[in-house]
Amino acid sequence: MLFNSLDFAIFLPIVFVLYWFVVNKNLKHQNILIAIASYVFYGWWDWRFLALILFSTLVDYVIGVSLGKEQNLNKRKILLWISILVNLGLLGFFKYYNFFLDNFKSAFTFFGSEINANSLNIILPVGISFYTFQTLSYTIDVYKRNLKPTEDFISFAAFVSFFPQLVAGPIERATNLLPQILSKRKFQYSEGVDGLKQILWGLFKKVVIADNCAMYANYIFDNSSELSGSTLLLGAIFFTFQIYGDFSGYSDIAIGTSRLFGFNLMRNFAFPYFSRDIAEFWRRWHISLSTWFRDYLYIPLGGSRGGTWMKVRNTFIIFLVSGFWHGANWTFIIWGGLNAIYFLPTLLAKRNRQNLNIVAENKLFPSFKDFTKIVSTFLLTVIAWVFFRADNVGHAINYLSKIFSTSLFTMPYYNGLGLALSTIIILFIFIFIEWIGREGEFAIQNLKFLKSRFVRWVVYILIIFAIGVFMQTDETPFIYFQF
Amino acid sequence: MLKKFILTFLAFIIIATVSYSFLILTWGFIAPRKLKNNLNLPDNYGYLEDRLKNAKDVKDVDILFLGPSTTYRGFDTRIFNKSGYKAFNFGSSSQTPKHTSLILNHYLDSLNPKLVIYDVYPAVFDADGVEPSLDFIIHNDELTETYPLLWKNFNIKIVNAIIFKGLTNLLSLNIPGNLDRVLEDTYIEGGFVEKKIKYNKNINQNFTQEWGMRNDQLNEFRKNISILKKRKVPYLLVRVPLTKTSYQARKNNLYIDSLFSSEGSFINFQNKVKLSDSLDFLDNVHLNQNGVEKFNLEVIKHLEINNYFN
Repeated sequence: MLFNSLDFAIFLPIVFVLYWFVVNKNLKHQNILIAIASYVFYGWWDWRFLALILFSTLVDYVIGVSLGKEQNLNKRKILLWISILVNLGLLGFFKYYNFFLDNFKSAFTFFGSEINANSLNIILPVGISFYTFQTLSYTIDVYKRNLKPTEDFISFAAFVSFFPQLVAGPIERATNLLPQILSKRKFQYSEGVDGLKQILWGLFKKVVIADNCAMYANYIFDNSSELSGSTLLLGAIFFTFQIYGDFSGYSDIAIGTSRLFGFNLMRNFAFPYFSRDIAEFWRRWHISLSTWFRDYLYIPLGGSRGGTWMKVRNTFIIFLVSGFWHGANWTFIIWGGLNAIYFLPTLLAKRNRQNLNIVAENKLFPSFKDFTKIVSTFLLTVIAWVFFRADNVGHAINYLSKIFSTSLFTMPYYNGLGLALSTIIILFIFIFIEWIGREGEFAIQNLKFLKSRFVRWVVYILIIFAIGVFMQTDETPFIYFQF
Repeated sequence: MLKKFILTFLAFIIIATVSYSFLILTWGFIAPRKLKNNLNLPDNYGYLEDRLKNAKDVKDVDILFLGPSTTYRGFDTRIFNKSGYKAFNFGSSSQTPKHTSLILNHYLDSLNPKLVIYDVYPAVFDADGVEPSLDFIIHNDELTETYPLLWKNFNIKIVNAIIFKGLTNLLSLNIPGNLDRVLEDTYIEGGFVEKKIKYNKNINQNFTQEWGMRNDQLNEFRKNISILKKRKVPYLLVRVPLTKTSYQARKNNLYIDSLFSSEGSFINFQNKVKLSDSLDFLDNVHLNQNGVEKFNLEVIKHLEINNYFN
């Protein structure tokens, strides 16, 4: 089920009413409702893959319970590795099987011998990378004794499949979400209101910003060989906003929806395009994944405690794995590698934790120095996103080489670009709202000029109006569903 | 807390709905076309407004024509009248089975046709039908007739159009800029639209592809057929000729014909009439007046040979 669909607009109020008015007296019943609603939500896409979630849930539940009872370190390690192998095995098969096969075939062909193996027509289960990492975090935390395993299967199933964040995150830690599922929830007015506001803003980001930018980005990327460098740069900028609107919009709707049910999910985006360096960008972009890799990969590898070589190695590992997590394509791996190259200088110069505060806090405008840093960081991300969006590495290289040609200094043009006027106007308004709202968790949470209810409601109605008039009318899936 | 939340939310929904409606109305009047993404107010190029008004005054016809622009530009009711058949052409731009259903539900009783000629132009079976829905909403004074289009094809453009039309009706406002006429076109009483003679200059079709078929439109088409069967109205499914190049560019014509044949009496006029791609068409899809005359005489011949009215 898509958040931007009529189905979800009907589904959400039904589950809300059942949750707070029918099963509100009994925690167990509430958790059963969450689990059922989550399975319906997921099964709406393809019910056959529910078996996969159920299997993953069962494996980690049993392993979690066993880890809770087992004291022998070797046996505990074996249990942990079973969980890791099963989860990553499923992920590897569904997501990476064909990639590895094709690359092995190419490598063998390159060295003069051929192997006979056929690619499989595998459907990638939506959200598999997300829920796999979520269940893995549970087992690892239980193994490390950071968390007591739960023996309540329904609650565990609700934790794994929690519908707001099931298919595209935020990737929740068991240490944050599971205790909330196991304890009584109370409806809080301010959380409910914030939840609705966040849903509204997320929807705006998805259906107005992302979907409109997608239209132009798709055209420009698909016809890049015929267009000028300046047009390609514009296309890359459209994609930069598309991916942000799409993914952070999803996260906002997910977090907002969870708030309506009394849950607090972790923040996933913190205005990343206002970052002053790449290290700050990565503290603000897809936070739940970055911190997952930090806690479960980077730190166990030694983090930045060792010498320079170890720092370089670990940085590359984490960025390359992060790239590969996104998709079975070399473009994602290069995207990760490029970000590692951006990031390393700040790490080696020990300046990676320089910009921890909010840029131009309590000020309307940034200083000139901050402004240039923001723009240059933004442009670096734009270049990296070209690899993320391109069909293959060759396409990305051709695209970038055309951007860095003399045609960069011409006016962007293609037949139909004139229609982008409304999108460009909306983008500027969007950037302005995000800028003035950057001190909140999401842009319209605590806007300073929204003191009176009247003004607040006017703003919300204008956002609804903008959605109604400017949204793309096809139900477009979220980009991160494919990961 | 929960009660306060729900009450506040309901109050907001009510205020937001009213405000949204008036913002849509205002935007429809003041915004330039480029900023009206989901508030397109279609022009009356297909003369649907005239046809709907005209239909209210017509009763008991011999032939009712249904279908898209190939219908209202392809069946000249004057030619049928001359041959002694009282005819009404209820074609409309890109009319899909969803819209035909609306016509059947509201006009079949009063028009009371002895025969329905249903133009099954395959392209409309592959369309979602949003744009023609807007045409029906904006150009129909009986707004309630168009509500089913909302359930059949939920889309924000349709919602906005219904709001806009509803408020303009309520406040007796004229819809801006939607009454344009194409200078070369003339609406003929009875639903036909005559274009000043024009020849097709763009004959080459450099593509080959297949006609698509959406399940929802096919299901709706079958419902329309069952309405006709239930009311015992004889019907003839027809394919109006396209230019040869345009017809041959589609690879699955035989399949499409067999599909329609299974739904009742069907005839494909593509090769039944001798037509020139340049002299008898105004573009690759629509006949010009020369072509219309040749084609219509052939239709009348077919009706008479097959004793449709005896």
